[in-house]
Amino acid sequence: MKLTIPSMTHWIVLGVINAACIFSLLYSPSYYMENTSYQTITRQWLEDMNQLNTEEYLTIGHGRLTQTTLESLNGKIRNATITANVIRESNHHVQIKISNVKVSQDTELFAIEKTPDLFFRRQYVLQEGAVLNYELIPTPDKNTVCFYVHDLGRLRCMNH
Amino acid sequence: MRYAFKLKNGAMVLFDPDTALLSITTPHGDVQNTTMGRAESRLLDLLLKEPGQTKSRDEIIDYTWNDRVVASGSLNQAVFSLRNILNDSRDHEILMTVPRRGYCFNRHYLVDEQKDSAIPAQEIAQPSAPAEAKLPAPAPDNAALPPQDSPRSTYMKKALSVAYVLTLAMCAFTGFHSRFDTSKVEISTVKHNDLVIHAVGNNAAEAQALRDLSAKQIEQLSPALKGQVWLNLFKSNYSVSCVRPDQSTANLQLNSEQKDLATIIQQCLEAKI
Repeated sequence: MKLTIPSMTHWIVLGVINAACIFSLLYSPSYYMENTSYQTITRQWLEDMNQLNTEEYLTIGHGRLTQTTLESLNGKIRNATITANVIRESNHHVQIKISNVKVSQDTELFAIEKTPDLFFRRQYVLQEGAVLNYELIPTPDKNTVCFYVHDLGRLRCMNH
Repeated sequence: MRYAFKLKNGAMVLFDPDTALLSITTPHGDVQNTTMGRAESRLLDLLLKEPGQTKSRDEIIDYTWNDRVVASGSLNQAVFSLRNILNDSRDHEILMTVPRRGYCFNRHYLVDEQKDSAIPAQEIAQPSAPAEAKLPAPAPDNAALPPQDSPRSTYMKKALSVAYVLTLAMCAFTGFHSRFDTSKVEISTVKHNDLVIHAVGNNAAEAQALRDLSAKQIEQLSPALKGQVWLNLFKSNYSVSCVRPDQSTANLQLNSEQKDLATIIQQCLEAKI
């Protein structure tokens, strides 16, 4: 049987639609570099005006996200490492599921009764199985990455 | 010109009207070559010239016997004989009788020789010019014919249906993926000399309100201040992230009542933390 013109048209249209879909799926200029360690410093003023200082390191790659935080308050130091699996990923979003949490000590450095909001947020993040949604924000420089963590209402910019 | 058609048992037939040779290839690959009688050959030739078109008895007699006067029984005999050759003597599906009008060849038994014939070239008894199977011409009589698709046509239709389903799935997946990729935060930007402030909000109004607030505040700042700042207000807590001119970054978090925005921005950009 010879293909009729309408049949050929069907095939061409289907081909074009599929090609467009595949291009859209494959073409994903990412706002971050994979397997690159980003770092930043953070200062948080607590309700009692104490300053909680942290150094943060972040790496995303091979379907995993690792974040290490070293925090200090009034000379006391605590560190935490969170490992998560990337569940979904796109140009603007990374959705992760916490798979492992390691902390140098269970007790928080700050007085939790004075800053309960921060305590509860941390309890969520430090729980295995918790899902976090990172929204990547475009930056003018490729060496920096900025993102907003929806679940925590937290904004971060980190540099390479 | 040769014609190719199939029989009800799936056998493929090549008919060469010039030599009256009928070459039948059974589904098992056996080839039977038969030289037809002149009347049967001419009858088949006429009907195959316009498959699906009804030819009257007079037309057939004129063409088959070259205007010789023959009894009407001769035509009946030729039709009977041809149907026997084509294994069509019982239900007359191939060589169809159109009551009170004449006979026609069922065009749905025609095949495209080049594409559908399984007959190897060397098995054709008398090769001639490249075979050309006639495609049926649309005819008013067609309406009476039952619709029949060739196996390849059916296969192509099935393939097209599968392709449609797969394309639909691909579009759904792409849509699902792109919906996930849709930005959920709004960013409103204000520029003050070399300082760029991006207000991040959960909606446009929130982002614009924060941008307007920061635009007022940064007027107090030194025009020499450079860098990119991202601001967010979450439950009365400011989150300020900045990228300094040396590409280093810093983040500050505090209650909106603790400090004013201009001071936080300046502190974030000047590496005083």
